[in-house]
Amino acid sequence: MGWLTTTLILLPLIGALVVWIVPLPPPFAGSLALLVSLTEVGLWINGLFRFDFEDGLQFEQQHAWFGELGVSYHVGMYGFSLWLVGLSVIVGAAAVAYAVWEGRDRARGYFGLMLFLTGAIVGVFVAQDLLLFYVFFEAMLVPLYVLIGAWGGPGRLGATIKFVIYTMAGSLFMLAAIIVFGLQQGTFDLVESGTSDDAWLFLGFALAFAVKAPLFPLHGWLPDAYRESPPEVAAILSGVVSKAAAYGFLRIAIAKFPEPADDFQVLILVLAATGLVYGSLLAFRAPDLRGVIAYSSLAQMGLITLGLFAFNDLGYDGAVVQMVAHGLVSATLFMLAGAVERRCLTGELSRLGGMARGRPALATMVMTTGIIGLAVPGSVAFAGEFLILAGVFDTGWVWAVIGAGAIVLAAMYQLRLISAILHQEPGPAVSPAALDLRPAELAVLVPLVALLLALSAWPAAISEHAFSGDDAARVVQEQFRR
Amino acid sequence: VFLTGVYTFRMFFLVFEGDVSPYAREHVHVPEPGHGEGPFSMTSTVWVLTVLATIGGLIQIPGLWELVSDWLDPVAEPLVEPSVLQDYVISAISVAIGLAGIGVAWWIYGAHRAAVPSATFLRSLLEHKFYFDEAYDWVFYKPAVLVARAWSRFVERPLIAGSIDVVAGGTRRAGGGVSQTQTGLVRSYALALAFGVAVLVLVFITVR
Repeated sequence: MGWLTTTLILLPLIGALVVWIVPLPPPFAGSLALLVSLTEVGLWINGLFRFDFEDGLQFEQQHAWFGELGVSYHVGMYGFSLWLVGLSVIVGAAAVAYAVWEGRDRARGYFGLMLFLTGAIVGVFVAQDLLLFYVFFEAMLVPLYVLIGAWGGPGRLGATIKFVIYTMAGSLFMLAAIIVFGLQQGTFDLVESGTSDDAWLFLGFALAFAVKAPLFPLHGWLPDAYRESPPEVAAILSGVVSKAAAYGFLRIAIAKFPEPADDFQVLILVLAATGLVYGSLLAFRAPDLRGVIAYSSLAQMGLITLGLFAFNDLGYDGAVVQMVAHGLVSATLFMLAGAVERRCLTGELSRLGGMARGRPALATMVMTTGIIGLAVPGSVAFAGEFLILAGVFDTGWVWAVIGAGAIVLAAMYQLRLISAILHQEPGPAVSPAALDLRPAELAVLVPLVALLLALSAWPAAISEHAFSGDDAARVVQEQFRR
Repeated sequence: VFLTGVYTFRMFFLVFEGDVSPYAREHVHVPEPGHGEGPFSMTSTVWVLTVLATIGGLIQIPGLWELVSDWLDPVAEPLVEPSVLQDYVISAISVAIGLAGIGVAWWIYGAHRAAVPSATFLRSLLEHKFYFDEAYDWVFYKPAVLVARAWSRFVERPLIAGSIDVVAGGTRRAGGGVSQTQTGLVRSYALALAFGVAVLVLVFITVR
């Protein structure tokens, strides 16, 4: 089954090459990209049914790359990586479908980049070799750079430069840490290498992930990047790419550096909790749709980091659930924001309002996603947040209190968002002729919301199937060897 | 039980008894007596609820059958077990208190034998729901807005976004400054070269 993992990486990369090289007319380029990304979803579903959740690393493939350095092409999936790969291919397919409907210009370039991005993200979640991980981690940047820089809003240039320089600076520290760690261990293989107690190496990794997530106060790139991207790119950026950072914390920073992670636990918990409250409050006062979603992403990544750095079963399980839940929620919200902006030509909340009247589909989608996003009891986001809070309560009750307080703030900003779009009097930017969501838009959004509802009914699908033997803390402690 | 009797029957007497109010006369079509029932879809539902509400208490009759207690027993054993007599006495007392409440409501709102008590302070306290909304506004909403504004003004814009501008501006200025050394004059490069060699020689001589 090793072919499955490699295919999940290679198929979109080959698809990208085909879209770029073969002079297809624009509609065909989009259709081909959609076909490839739907095939990815199909392949992932196939993998889901063949995966043995009692077991550790699966669908594994390894070939020597730089043999003498101990670098190899080594890929495979654990339970939680399977879920994150699923999130990536599903949000990726939704984003491609959204772009097809939106009719992006320079289609061949655009759809090729989207496929390339999907392949790189999947690579990050399955790489079991540090150098390979780094290659994929950086490869994500290339398509994002162009997608935001060429297809973004009016302020795209500044946004792109900020985003790229921030993340590059972070990952350079990671590259240095990878090289030193690999040479110390004599191998770059994540499964074979042991642990290290070098605090500097831990910080190198942690910095890269803290920028990517982002954690407070390294989020300077976030508001602009999320505001200026095309909505479907912002969906991938906040829904999936940010999870690569959380994944990195879990798979590398915590698993490979148990002692430094323990030493810096309080510092990171403080940053995460600050980001959670700070992001929630700024989301509550943000003047535009995307500002609300952007700052809420900062808050949610803080919450996920709280769960990870609780270092216990509940925290790890909750963090994985919340990664998937927030990925789906924020991707859906960004595409809904895109749909609203398309109709009203603005995302400013003061110019919106009253869109529920005569637009039942839009109202239903915004309402459902928003309510799940505010973690109403019974929703998958509630399951994730509850597990995280229960986990971090074990570390110190104060973290759980801050987290619980932030959930109230989440209700405040989500309800404000919902009512600013749907309720009150129609805003000056809302034309009575503005249409309800079209069938094509619903075809993109309904599956995402349906997934959220399905996971709300059965969050244990993820929480009890993320770590082999449902024994998260021990699996992480044993560096995922089992 | 007493208060429930009062407020429920206050509502009943105000809505169904007495003269038709000016508001209802103006806004609602008042039908002829006996022809004013709602449509079947509404009355049928209300009928079902009314019947169930009336006979619902019969599922537990102390001494006869105690379905509710038996059902709850396995998970929540009662802390004290009242005797059947106690059960009946308590039931009788609560019914009496409830009836007393209804009596008060009838006295004031049905028969108008007493004026509606006018305790101004109490009235405004109750009309403002014990000022809960206002308290909520002051305790949660206003501070949240205040803190959010302050963070946006004093942290997000000057520090988080501003630091990037500082770094960008600094890099630009540094580049501009260093570019001044690129004069294109061979003699200045030669001077720099000589200076560099001198530093190296010094280092090699001292660090040995």
